[in-house]
Amino acid sequence: MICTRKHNIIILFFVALLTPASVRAQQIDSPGLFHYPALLPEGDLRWALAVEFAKIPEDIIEEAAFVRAPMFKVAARYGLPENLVLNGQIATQIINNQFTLGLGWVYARDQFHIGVDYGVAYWFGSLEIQGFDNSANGWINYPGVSAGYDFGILAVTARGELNLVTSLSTFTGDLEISTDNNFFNGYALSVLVEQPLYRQKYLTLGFRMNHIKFYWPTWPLFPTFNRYYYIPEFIVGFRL
Amino acid sequence: MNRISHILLLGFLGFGCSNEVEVLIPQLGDGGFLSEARPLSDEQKARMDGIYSVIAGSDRFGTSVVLKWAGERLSIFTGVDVGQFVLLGGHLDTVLVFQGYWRKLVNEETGIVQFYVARDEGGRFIIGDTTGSPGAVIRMQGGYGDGNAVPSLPLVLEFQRAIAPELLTGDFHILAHRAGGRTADYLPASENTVEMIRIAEQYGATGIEIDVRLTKDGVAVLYHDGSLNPRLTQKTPLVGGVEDYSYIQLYAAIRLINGERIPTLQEALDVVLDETNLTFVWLDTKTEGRNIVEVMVPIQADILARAQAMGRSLEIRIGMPTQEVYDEVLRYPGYTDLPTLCELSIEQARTVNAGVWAPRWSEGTQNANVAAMHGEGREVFVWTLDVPQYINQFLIEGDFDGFLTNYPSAVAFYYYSQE
Repeated sequence: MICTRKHNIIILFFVALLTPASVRAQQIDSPGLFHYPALLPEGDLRWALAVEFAKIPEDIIEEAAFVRAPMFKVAARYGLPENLVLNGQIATQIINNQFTLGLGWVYARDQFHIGVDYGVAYWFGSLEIQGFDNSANGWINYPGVSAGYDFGILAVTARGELNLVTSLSTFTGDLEISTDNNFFNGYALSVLVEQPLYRQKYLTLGFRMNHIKFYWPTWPLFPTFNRYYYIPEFIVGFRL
Repeated sequence: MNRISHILLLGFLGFGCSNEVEVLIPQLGDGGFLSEARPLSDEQKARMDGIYSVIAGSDRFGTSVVLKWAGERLSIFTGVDVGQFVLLGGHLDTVLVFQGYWRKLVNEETGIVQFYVARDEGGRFIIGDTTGSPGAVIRMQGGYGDGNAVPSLPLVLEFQRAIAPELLTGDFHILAHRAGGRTADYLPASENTVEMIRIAEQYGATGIEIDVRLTKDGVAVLYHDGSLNPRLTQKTPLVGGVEDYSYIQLYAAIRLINGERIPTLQEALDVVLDETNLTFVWLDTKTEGRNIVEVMVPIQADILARAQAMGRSLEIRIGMPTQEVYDEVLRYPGYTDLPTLCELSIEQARTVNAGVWAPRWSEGTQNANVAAMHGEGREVFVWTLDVPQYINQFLIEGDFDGFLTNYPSAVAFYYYSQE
């Protein structure tokens, strides 16, 4: 691992951003939380918005600026009986889109909660620009484990998830190609902090580090590398 | 709160995770058997070129490979993970010995490899002593290792058939992107350098594409990106692009990832002419609005004249990747006589009388347009084909005269494997 002064400045920015909010934070309660593996009452529906910024390795991206676009996400959680939770998410970058549906279960002990979940995602993308007439789609499974602690003034959630690609297809014009199906693509570790912003609106700041071979939003570049890359993502979200 | 801050800090520090890896390609040694071995003649080398079955080692390198000599190196191209071998070799009487390295370009795998060909398993045939020879059976026995490990894993290749003669006429161009491959592929040299040009043929290239930019003082140099950046250069105090600095400033302050200097176009083409057997150079014109064509043409003309004087088959074409460069060529007096290559429409290729039309691979095989260009005496190259399945598919379904690729060894494998 190599750290630079630029990275440290970004870290300080995040810490500075958090500090004033936490000072004035009020006691929060579970209904305001989203990523924290809260026990959802049966029938309780929660919504959240997020925007994610990824730093894609230069080896892959080179000068293709369009792949650097942020990813916008809308996510929902729905409480089921027996501490089960139904999860859904739509992610879009205009040329890339992903729909995820999953089921989770939560175990709670005081302020410490643990959740396990399994998400199945279908993604697709199309690009018709500068001679490109390409499209792609695929299925990815995301089994994950979350552990959260509610400090009262904020909640911190750590999450780990695997990335299992079950299919990956790319098309260009009338040509079709399917690369390896059913391969282990890597994993992601994330830390998310949720705290009140105003009234019952909550702010989420998070960081996710992917360690994967194929980062699906990069499909327009037809990356041929079969190597693991670190791909960090910064997450800013709002609880609706 | 302090504890929480520490947790966050630990998380955010992950932003600094680096994707830098170091692929140490084992050095080709000339000790051991090789120091005693005598070099093979061109005739002897030609007897080895061909398609070989992989008797042992197919789990790592596939069931068949292509062997082809390139100068003093024996190259082996595989169909798995863009695998390639580069070997030095010679003979001790009628036994042949080889030593070198293998590498898979899609990942970081590499290692040492050694082979020998026994006297009665092809040694006598290759050397030319056919007295009592069992025939043209060549069996290369040896081993490979991972990294710098002793090459103890078995690897056995057996001659299957010769490369079809019609594939060796030079009519099809295997063009190596950025002089041989991307810096991101962890080759022994950085992209767009004379060092890379010198080894491009070992990877199966018969031609190269190089990126040409103009320095502030009007020197044509090789560099791909629009900015000096850590992807291509070592740490430098310079910011901006190649166009913002004089050549002497770049010479003094810039080292590419593997320590090389940014070469001038003249240096690069001198190396192509004097130190390689490459037959095609595609000049990808990167700088716009600076009359770079006027700088490139005299250098191109000089090298082509020298090639002709040497009786050397060499094409050098100025690429037109954008409308701006195309317009610049149109302003050049006598542009229809310039050796050019057009990446734009077929109509524009006709207008400028480009000898080569080069569409992007994502537009498909375009067989009707390719046939039209062929009917007008123009060649058609497609760029940049890297996905092995696409390479094979375009060879089977298309009618192109050449592929531009970051993986010339993959193109070589599929091209020479054709029956």
